[in-house]
Amino acid sequence: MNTNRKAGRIILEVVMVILSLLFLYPLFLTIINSLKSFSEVMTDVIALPKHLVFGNYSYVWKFINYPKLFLNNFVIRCRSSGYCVHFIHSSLQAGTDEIQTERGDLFPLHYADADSVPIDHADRSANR
Amino acid sequence: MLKSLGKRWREKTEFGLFTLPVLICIAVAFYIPFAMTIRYSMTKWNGISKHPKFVGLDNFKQIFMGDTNFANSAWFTIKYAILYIVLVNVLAILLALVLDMKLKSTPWLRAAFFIPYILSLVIVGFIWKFIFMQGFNSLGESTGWSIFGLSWLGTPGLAFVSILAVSIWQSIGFYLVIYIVGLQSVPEDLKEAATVDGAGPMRKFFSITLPLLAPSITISVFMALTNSIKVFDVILSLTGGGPGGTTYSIAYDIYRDTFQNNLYGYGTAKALILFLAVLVVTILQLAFFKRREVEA
Repeated sequence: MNTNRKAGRIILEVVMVILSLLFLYPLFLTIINSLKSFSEVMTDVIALPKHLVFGNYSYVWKFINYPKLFLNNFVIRCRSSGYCVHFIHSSLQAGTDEIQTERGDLFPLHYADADSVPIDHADRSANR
Repeated sequence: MLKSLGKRWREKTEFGLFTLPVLICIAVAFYIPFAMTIRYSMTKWNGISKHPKFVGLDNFKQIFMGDTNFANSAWFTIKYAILYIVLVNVLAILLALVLDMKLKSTPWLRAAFFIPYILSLVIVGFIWKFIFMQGFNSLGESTGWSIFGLSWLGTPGLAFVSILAVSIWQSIGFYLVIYIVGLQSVPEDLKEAATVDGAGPMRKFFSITLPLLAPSITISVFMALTNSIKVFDVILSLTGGGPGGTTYSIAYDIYRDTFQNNLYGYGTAKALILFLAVLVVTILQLAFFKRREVEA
């Protein structure tokens, strides 16, 4: 009984690891193909690269101004309403804490809202 | 008496002063644009001219009377939303049950299933487009399986399945995390008591785990609902609405009318309808699911 169960767990474990590798296969494929030359990608997508080519990366780095783009992202993030509201919210929280202790039901949405802003934000940034 | 009244008044102004900056921010970022949206939805406007022409409720009349694009995309979105909500939640619960069994590889599995969620949907769409076109070609050649030979983005039915599969692939990690947290809060003693009473694993799952998982199900279905009704970027990058305009969702239809056909007034009217639909559906869903939640 016990050994039977142990074997079942090991099989399940192996199946899950294979499943997760299959699940991530599209990503592996993308990484593999980013290291090939264009003609090699066109002839066979799933083959491993014959010799590593980093030309794609240097090309992209040259033609897309990544530091500038990341700075843009950062600026937009900081200025976007989410952070602005969140920032004021948290400073507000410090300010209203003393009132809150005097009046219990001051602003029931207050805490829920301060929580939901960063979550919403993370969600949105992940989706973009 | 007068003193306490004065104190209350002071508290009120203090409170008002503290909330004022937030109110201004929210008003500028949300309420004012929203009011403008309502105004623009009653105009005929191309987005450039300075004088939108007021047409009353004509836009809404036209949308409901004779817009086949809107009807088709609405039907597509409803189909997509129902299948997405059911599949992503069922799969996430099943995966979460396995990951909750304390296997040795659990940390790796959690990371593996969560990784696609950190990618942006547009990039996920491009990756999968590449795989559906070139990748499946090579896979078909080396394995000889006929499923790789199908035109996954070229036939209407299969394109729908592809969009569904790709969005589930991308977002299942998020729902998985919610369900894992939910499963960890199911008390162990209840399960043990059920085992002592002679319940099998299936009975234990349906009578104990699933009812106690209800709060997680509520939040997951809520997120899946709002995300699937608003589905946009994955379709944009994967099929671009094709083949033959069969995979337009409502959000994509709004985008097409507003920014590609330059019908700003008409597009805003559609967006307003979508907003009301999402609002009503989510309120109904939350009310319905909240009522079914139980305490341990």
